[in-house]
Amino acid sequence: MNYGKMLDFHKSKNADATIAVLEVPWEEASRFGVMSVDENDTIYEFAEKPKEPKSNLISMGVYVFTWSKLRKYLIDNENDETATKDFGKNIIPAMMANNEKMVAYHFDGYWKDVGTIDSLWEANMDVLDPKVPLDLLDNSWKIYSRNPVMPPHYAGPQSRIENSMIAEGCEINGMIDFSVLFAGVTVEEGAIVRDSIIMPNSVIKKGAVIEYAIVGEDCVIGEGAHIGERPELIEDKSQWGVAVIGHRVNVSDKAVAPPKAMISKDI
Amino acid sequence: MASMAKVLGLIFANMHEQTLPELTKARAMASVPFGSKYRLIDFPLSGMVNSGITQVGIITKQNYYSLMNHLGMGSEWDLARKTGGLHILPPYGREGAGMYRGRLEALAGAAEFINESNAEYVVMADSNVIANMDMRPIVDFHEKNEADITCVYGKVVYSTERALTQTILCVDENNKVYDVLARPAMSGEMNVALNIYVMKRKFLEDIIRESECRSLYSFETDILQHRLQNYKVMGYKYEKYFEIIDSMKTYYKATMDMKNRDISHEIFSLDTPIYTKVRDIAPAKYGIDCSVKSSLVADGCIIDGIVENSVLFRGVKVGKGAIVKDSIVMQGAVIDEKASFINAIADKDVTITKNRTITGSADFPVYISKGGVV
Repeated sequence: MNYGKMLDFHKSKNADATIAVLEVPWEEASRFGVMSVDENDTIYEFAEKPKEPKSNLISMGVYVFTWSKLRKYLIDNENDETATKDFGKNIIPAMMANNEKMVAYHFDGYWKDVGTIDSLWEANMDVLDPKVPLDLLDNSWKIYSRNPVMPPHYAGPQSRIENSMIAEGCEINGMIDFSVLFAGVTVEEGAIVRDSIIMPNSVIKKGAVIEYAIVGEDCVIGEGAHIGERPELIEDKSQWGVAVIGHRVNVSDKAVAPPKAMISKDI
Repeated sequence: MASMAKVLGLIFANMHEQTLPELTKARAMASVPFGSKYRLIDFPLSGMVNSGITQVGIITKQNYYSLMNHLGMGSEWDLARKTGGLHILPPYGREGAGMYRGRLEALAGAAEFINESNAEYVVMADSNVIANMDMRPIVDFHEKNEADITCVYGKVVYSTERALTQTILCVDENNKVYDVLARPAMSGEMNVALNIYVMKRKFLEDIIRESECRSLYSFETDILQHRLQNYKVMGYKYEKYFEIIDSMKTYYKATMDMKNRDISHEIFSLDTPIYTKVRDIAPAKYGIDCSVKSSLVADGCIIDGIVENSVLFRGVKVGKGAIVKDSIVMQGAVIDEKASFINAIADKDVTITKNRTITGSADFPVYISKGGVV
């Protein structure tokens, strides 16, 4: 997100506070802070996680404040002994109540709240989807990160990799499809990783199958183990979900972790 | 074990460029790209740092813009320090200095830096040896033998075809060097000098001063050969993996060696890593119907075609239906849809256009120069 553009908007509107907003499906709005705006994008109502939302414009949690105003409201809030000192519950409503100029900034780029297992998994899969407007390889808008000191990744003679993102230091001899592999992951011969996320330095042993799963850092998935399941193979869809293996968990040979499993100890 | 804090590292950035004219046309030997994301200097420099050396001078001659860009402040090697650290030494570093003819004149140009380092020992290396070398046992060996000069050598199957830069050392059973041959017309397994030398700083300074008086400039000819009897010259045999890059053929071979898992795990050991400039680039992306086998792939590549037995640098694009086989493709190059690139080397930012076929042979890979569009 280009915060510079939002700041320009804030200045051009002569606003006291600008809140970045997004349009979401109506049924999802009640999970967020909901904003009602007029035709000039001025916010006239703000409701934190309302049961019956009056709008489907939600706050992204990105704000621009005029410094002096923010300072004033923070000090007032600090001095108010009855206040809960909560940004969404105190500061924004107080500014609304005093008729400060609050405007909505419509963001139309890629945005996803990754606060649940499913949404974290979906966001990773979005990276692989060319139709999703999130280009991590855009040189004019780089996403910076820590760079592990590792050699390039090696795709071995048995590897079959498609539709995936593979970081440095990986050694692949198995099959990878629609997956995201972090740095230093090893996938041995005959192992299959599909629709999954494998975090740094984990080892997927021979013949293991990982489907619709998130595997944490430094895990070892034993030979022939089976993590997760494809949704089309599950009749009762309520039983299906992404399987999760926590950090530093060892999964023994031929062990099974069903869909929706949350494994935090060795199995 | 020797205290490596008292050791100064010196790396010659431009030696042997005549052996690799294509790759060093627009860059120093030290900044020749190697192994999918590295530059040649990363190997001697990381070796020195992993051995505990904290001050290193890089002796340059020409074409060193890309090298300076690569090294920056030396932070990637943990050499951005207040004491010691990384210093790039340009050829006109002092009055009377300039385009040096040989190693001794180059050292004379760096004499002040060497003196101010206050180091007890100096380790010198060139940029064209691929190895992950621990230099501590070499300094120990030098100390234990009370040598004047220690030369590191390795067993190489030598032939006159490889003789452009190579020096052969004759070493007796006590590791003493008793003869030094430059480019002999011989063949077979020989002790080839890796051009890595250890000396006491004071001793090196004496040699530099004396050589200046006598207009001597070649360390190999004027010191090692002509004055061998005056000094105690010892040979240290290096027995782990190394490759001397002194031709396109050896560059190609050494690059392909990095795909060998045993060699790769030794050279890119996680305990003594090879450091390089980082780029903050997203991981490589594999598309629909692509196939990649027995290849090294760096970050930022976008692969939609077939890649076999090859080494791809950062940000390489392989289009749909394209084939890259037994090849080296450097940073930012594009192999467009349905093009074939076989037994070939593409320098940075090369474009092989749609449907084009480029084919070399294993002992004579085709080379496409930087930015070329074919």
